[in-house]
Amino acid sequence: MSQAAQSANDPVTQWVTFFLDNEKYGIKVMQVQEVLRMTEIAPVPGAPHYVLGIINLRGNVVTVIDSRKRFGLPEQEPDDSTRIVIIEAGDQVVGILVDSVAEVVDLRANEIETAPNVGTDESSKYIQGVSSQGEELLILVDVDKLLSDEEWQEVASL
Amino acid sequence: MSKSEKQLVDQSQALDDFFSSLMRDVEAYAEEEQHDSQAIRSDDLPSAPAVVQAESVSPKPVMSETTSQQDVQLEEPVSTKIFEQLPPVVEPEPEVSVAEVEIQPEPEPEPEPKHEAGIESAPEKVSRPDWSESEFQAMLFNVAGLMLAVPLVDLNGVVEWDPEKITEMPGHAEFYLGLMNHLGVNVPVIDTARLVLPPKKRQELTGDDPTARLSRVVLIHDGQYGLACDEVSEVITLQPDEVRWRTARTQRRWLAGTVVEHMCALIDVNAFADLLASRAPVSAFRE
Repeated sequence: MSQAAQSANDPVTQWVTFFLDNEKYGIKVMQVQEVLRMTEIAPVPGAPHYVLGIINLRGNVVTVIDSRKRFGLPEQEPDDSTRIVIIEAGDQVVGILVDSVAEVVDLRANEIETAPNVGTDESSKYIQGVSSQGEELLILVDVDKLLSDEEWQEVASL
Repeated sequence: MSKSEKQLVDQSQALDDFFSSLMRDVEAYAEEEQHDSQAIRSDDLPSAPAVVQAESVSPKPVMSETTSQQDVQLEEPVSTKIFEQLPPVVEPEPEVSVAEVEIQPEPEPEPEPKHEAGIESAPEKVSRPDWSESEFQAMLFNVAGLMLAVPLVDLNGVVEWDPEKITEMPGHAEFYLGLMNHLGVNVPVIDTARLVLPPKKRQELTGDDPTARLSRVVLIHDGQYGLACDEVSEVITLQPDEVRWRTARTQRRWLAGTVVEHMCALIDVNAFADLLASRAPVSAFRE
């Protein structure tokens, strides 16, 4: 019962964790629709640089975003563990390409710390916070802010 | 061998240049740099004007009422310009920037006499940190050859540099190495050399592993920031008169002064942390 009392003022959220360039990231489980194996991504001519292309998801066209590019990480060839995470963000459904998907973790609100901002890079806005998982740090991403409003519109109009 | 020797010579040359530019900065010459730095400063550096306003005394009463936000930001270049022109004496009007001329033709006479009266003593006093009034101790540490000194009162600790303990954050500036877990607190760690050194010197830092030279992290500002450095050196005791303190004219606000005897640059920790927190452009550290 004490657990219930605790959860009232310290709500638990669930996060899907994935890897990008050896760092672990998390996005809210409620925003994740499904996780796909790597499939053929059709490039879209004239698409913005952060868009890898589109995939056919059971008859629906879904835009896939290059998360490595967005995070300023070096590019890497897709391999067996590469996944496309289908998320709902910015009022639409998009896919993000990640190195691998790990697990779902429960985080209590008090386990989430704000990430100090250093430097002038605006792109770091999408970092919602960090959470210590033993020795490593989980970087929590706010997928709605992964792209700016203009960029979301751009994606929607593809 | 000869190649590496030459590299060494080049490096120390570059460092000498940089140190003398720091000294010049402190000593308020550097007129030739005036134009570039003003161009950069006039559109960013949100908190700089406040400091300079306090230091340069005169524009404050008039300007704070008559000018808008934008004009306040322009204030710094204006006042520093007036400063430099003082030796030739009394005719800043023609060269004062457009913003000031347009908006307040009347207060112009005011700045001049006050500046003239206070130019030798006042600005220095105002801009010096608290601990600088009496004898103090400072720890020396080396960033890519440049010796920096942090006053012990503002030093919170020194820990080993361990890349394993650093979590890199995506999409951040190149000088931001990532978050380090230190006693349960996530401390942003900065590659000090890449932040403060001039471009020429900084180019030598990019290699296969630009962090290989790092060995320690110096914690400052209540452990809020970690400054990664190549090595930590001795602790020295300084008398206030051994330091060439910065003047109001100083471009680098994190620089409290230079100590010629130790060839080191003394950090004003609060200003340094403020610059980091304000997300000031990198040029604010280097110019």
